[in-house]
Amino acid sequence: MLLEVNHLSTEFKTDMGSVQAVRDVSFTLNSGEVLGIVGESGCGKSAMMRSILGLLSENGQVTGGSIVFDGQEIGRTAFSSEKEYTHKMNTLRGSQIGMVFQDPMTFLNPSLTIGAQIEETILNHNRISRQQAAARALELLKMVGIHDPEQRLKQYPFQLSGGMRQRIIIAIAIANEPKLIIADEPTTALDVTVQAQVLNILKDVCARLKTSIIFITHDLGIIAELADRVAVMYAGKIVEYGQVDEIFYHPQHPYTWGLLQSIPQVNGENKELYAIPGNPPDLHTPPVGDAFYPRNPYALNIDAVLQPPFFKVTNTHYAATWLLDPRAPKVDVPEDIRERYAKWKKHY
Amino acid sequence: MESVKKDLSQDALFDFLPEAEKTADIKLLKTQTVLRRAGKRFMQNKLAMLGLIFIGLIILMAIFVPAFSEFQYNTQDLSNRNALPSWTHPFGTDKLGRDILVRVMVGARVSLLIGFSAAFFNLVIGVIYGGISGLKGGWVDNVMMRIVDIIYSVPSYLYVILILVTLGNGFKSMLIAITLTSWVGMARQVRAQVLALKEREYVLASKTLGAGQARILFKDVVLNSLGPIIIVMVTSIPKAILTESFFSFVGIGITPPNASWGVLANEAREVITSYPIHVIWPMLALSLTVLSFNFIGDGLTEAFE
Amino acid sequence: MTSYVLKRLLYGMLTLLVLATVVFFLMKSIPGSPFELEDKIFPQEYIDNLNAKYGLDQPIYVQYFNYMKNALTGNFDNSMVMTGMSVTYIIGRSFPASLKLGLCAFFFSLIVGVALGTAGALSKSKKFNYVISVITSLGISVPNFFVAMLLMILLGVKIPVLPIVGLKTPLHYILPTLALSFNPISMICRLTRNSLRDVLSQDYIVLARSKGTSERRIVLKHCLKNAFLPVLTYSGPQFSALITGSFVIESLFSIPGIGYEFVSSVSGRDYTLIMGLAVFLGVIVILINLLTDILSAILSPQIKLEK
Repeated sequence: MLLEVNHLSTEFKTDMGSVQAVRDVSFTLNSGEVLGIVGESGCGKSAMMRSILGLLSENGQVTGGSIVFDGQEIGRTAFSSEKEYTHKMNTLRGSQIGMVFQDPMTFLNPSLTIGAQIEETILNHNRISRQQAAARALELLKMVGIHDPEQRLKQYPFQLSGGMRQRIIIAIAIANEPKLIIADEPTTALDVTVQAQVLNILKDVCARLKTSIIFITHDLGIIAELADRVAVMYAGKIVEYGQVDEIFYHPQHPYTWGLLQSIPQVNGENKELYAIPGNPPDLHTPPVGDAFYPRNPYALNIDAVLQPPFFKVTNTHYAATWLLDPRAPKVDVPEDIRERYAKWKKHY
Repeated sequence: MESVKKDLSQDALFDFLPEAEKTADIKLLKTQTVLRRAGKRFMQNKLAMLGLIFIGLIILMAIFVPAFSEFQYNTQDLSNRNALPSWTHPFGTDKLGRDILVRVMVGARVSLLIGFSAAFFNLVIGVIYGGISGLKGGWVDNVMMRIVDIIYSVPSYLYVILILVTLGNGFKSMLIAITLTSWVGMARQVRAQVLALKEREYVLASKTLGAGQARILFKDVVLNSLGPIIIVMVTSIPKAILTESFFSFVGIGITPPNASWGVLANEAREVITSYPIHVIWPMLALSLTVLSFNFIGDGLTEAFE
Repeated sequence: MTSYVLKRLLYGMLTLLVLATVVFFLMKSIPGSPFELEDKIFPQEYIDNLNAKYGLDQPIYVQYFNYMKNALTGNFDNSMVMTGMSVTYIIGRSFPASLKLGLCAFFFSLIVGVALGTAGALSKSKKFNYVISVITSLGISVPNFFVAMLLMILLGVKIPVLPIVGLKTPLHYILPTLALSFNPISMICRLTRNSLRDVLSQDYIVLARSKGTSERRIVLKHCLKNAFLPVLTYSGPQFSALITGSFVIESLFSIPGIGYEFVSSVSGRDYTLIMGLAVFLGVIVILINLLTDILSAILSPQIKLEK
């Protein structure tokens, strides 16, 4: 087990009170595994990942839970002072855990050269000379498929395209061959053609280095291609998790159904694209029951008053919906999902 | 609603929830108009409210103190010169035995009038100039903005001095001098907001919205761009008051017997070593007024952020 | 970079041309000859002579042409009030005092302002930041001549430890420097604090942290350069304002600087001196604006590398 997150909660202070961005989230990650985390924007995926690395913005705060990475407790609450915590995290960040961010346009320092920004992470964790770091940086640029790397090292971010910048950010993340890479929507801000390239580079490099990945996205297509396991997040909570096939072909939570229904089908008939009705709830005052019930066409009375626990589907597959309770009525699963179930039955 | 649901019997818990009840206890994201939200935030800003109260107070005093005092601002009483504060003269009297409180409040009339008039004329000129520049666009915009750049790059005190020399001293020249040098900031802001509005209007037009929805959104957008303009206007008031005081203080702005705060400080310079309090009163009034306007400006900036 | 500098230079020259023209026509728009004072003590013949001497009897376009030619070559007419003194001489006599005082005030403001602003941005203490806010609010609200007078009353009169007239010894510089600095310190402090806070909340700082970079290095390497740009854009005009002499402070402390000269030229309606001083100050301001632009271009790689 590489990473174990238990009952993590994170809040952001705003003008109108505190927003509970992450609410009691638990999950695990095995070595060499790719975990996909999906959900609409604003569901707390990014806040969760930043909580793990202690990279929340000034107004964000981890309010509870434990995080065990590679056998060591690294949750903020396990440290007595901010200084002690930062010190510990600085030995992990960039060396054991690398992070790839969403927008390559804003995550590189505009006034430092590409070379300086890559060398920094190498020099932070290795006692080597600048020349050696520069040589390593060159090697990294080749690894992420950048042409003319000697030239690029001397350039500034504004001279590079978005796709190239994202490769630089990947190079920074893998520079010290970390055990874990957290990728926060790394392709969302890129052109569709570039998306696939960047994704392949990330996949190849991590496979070569046997790095685990937590991949955050709202794009189920990417998850299907990349992930071993998937966790679905809604309103700051994980609502369903399981093996990638279990989530795609045997989903149990109505929210997962909604997400799957809204994927455009390449070879499907020209149906109108499904969109989940309504908006995510205001997390200043999260709903008492299941946060999804107002948008849920299959909501039960109990959804409005009591949060559902996780119901076991298989040893690897769990979903938090009252529909799995033995007392719940049988529901008409949407047609698309029924088709998925049929495929599932054929295979297993 | 909550209580009704709690009363549900055990087996009803697993019945489907009626569609109508789904939104019942959901707190939707609060939809407030920009102006309301800004107004609320502004009211919560203690320093800004303090500033507002002080400005209100000084306006009232500027109107009523000279009107109801038994002394005129130029009534001399040579038998009672340089008197310390007392019940009849709360701020004392100056070197000619004139009541300092009345003089400071007459000074307030002049200084505040300069401040408010400058803000008003800035707005008028800025809206016309910036509006034309932003709406016309193209080379007209380019030429108009280059002119603004040129005016902007020369320090305003140079222009003020030149205009004062050309038009002579006095309230009117001072007002013209200040207005002619300070409208450029407003023009730039108005132009920027007009451009933003054009952009938004285009975006709105490209979306298929119901007429009502479009109107609400557009209203919001207009109000949004009002914020920065109001801020520029409010911050131009203390600037004008300060500029006036600088020039009057060295004797080339408003001149005696007119009494602005700068004039009063200038007159008290001669006696600064013996009667420092003569300088303190008008300067305190000036500093607190400018401070109050700055607090209001800061409060507005935060409110519209 | 070169084309950027050339463009700035062109704008600077255009600005100067406009300023010189405005000055000329404003002065000419004043009705009557400058020698016809209210009391008409001079005989008409004498006034005609004077007009001829200063070229005021020629058509306006000739006068304008001569004036621009002189302004370009740095030759100004003699002062109309202080007979026999050339404007160039008066500038040479008064500028050093303003320059010295201005340099003191500028560097004092820059050092204190940046230090205080950086401390405020990095400190998590609410109390400390509140104190800074109060001080800087006062600094931008209280006019510098009031600060000067308070300092004079306090340190010059009540506890007479510092001289308050002229600029003879280094000690003479203390009070005027303090009075001149309070406002720029407050502005620079606020700018530094806001700008540094803004930079600290940028995405690229998060990436720097994710590399395990220490807080100290983040501030020194990733923030200061980016945060300093707005401070620089403010400091340029502030620098020229300070070295060209604050007429209020010079008048209060009886410092024979260029601001003092300017105010007396206005009071004495010394038109040639006013024109000369205005053009001179304009040149300084525009030169320093140009320097500021070049400096910020060097700090920002985007402009530096532009063709």
